Amino acid sequence: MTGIDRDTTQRFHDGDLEALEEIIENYQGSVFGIGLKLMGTVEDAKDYSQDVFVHAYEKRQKYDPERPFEPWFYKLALNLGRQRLRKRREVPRSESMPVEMVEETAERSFMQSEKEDLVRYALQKLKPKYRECLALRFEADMQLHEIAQTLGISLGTVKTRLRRGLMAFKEAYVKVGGLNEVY
Amino acid sequence: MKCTEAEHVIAEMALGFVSENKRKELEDHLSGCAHCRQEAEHYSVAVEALKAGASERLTAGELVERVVSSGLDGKSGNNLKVMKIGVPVLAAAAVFLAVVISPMFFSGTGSDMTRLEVLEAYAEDLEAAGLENDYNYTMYNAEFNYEHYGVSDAVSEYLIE
Repeated sequence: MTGIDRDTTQRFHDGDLEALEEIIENYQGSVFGIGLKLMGTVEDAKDYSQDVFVHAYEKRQKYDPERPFEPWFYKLALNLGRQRLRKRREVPRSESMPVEMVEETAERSFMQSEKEDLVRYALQKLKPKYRECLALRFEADMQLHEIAQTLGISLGTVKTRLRRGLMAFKEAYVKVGGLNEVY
Repeated sequence: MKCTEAEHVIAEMALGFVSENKRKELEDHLSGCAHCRQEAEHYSVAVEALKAGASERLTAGELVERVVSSGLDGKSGNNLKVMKIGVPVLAAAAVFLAVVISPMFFSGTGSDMTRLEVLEAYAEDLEAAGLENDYNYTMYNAEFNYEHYGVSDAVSEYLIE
C-alpha cells in the first residue's frame, strides 16, 4: 500500500484542504483503478473517484487519526462503490457490452485500450465481492491481512474470494477473447 | 494432484500466496499435464491483465479540481452541516407558517370566504355529488354491467366487497 504520514492524516482530519490534496495525489491512482474495476467504464470511474474523496472529506471526523488511514479510507471507498452498484442494479443492463464501452472501444484504436476494455468487461461478469477483493489486491496493492482488515472478513475468506475471483475472471477473460491478444 | 486441485493451486500461485509444498506438488503435476500447463499460462496472462491497470488515468490535478469544484472549500464542513440541519428546520418552519398564516388567505382582504365557509362549501359539493353517505354498492352494481366484461352477476358483489 502507498502511505501518507501521520501529520497529513491529522491535518486531513482537522479539515485542512492541502492535506486532502496530498491524499488525492497519493490515492487517486488506486481509487480510479478500483472504480474502473468495480464500475467498468472510465466515466463512471472518474465520477466515483470524485465522490470517494468528497465523501471521505465529509466523513473525516469519523476517522481516528491514531489508527491507520488506508483501511478506513478503502472501506469507505468500497461502501460507496457498493452503493453505486446497488443503484445501477435497479436499472436493467443488457448482457451485451455497454454502449459506452463500445463507443470508447471504437474511439480508441490502440491495442492496449482494447485490452483494458476486455479486462473491464470480463470483470463486470464477476460478483461485486470478488471484484472488490481483486481491486484491493491489484489496485490498492494490499496484502492479504490488509484486505481482511478493510473488508472485515477473515484471512481465509480473503484467500477464497481472491482465488474464486481470479478463476472466474480468467474464464470470463478467455470468453471475451482476452487471450487472443497474446496468442 | 488432480487437475481440479491443480487449477486451485495455479490460481493461488498467480495471486502469490501458495505454500512451498503445494508449489512443488504443482510443479510435479505440470511436468506431466499439458492441459494444466496451458491453464497456468492463461492464469499468468489474466493476472498480468489485472495488474496492467488503465492507461487512461485521472490526473491528480484534474481530480483535485473536480473535488474542490464540487463544493468543497474552507467552509464546506460547516456548509454541509447547515444543509443537513437547516433544510429540515426550514421545511418545518414553512409548514408551521402555512398552518398559522393560512386563515389570512380565507378571512383577509384577498377573499370573501372564511376558512370555515370554504370547508362547508366542500361538504356541500360532496353532498351534491351523492358521495356523502348515500353511496351504496347496490346502485353501483346496477349501473355497472359486469356481464359485459365476462363476470357473472352472482360473483360481482364479492368483487366489490
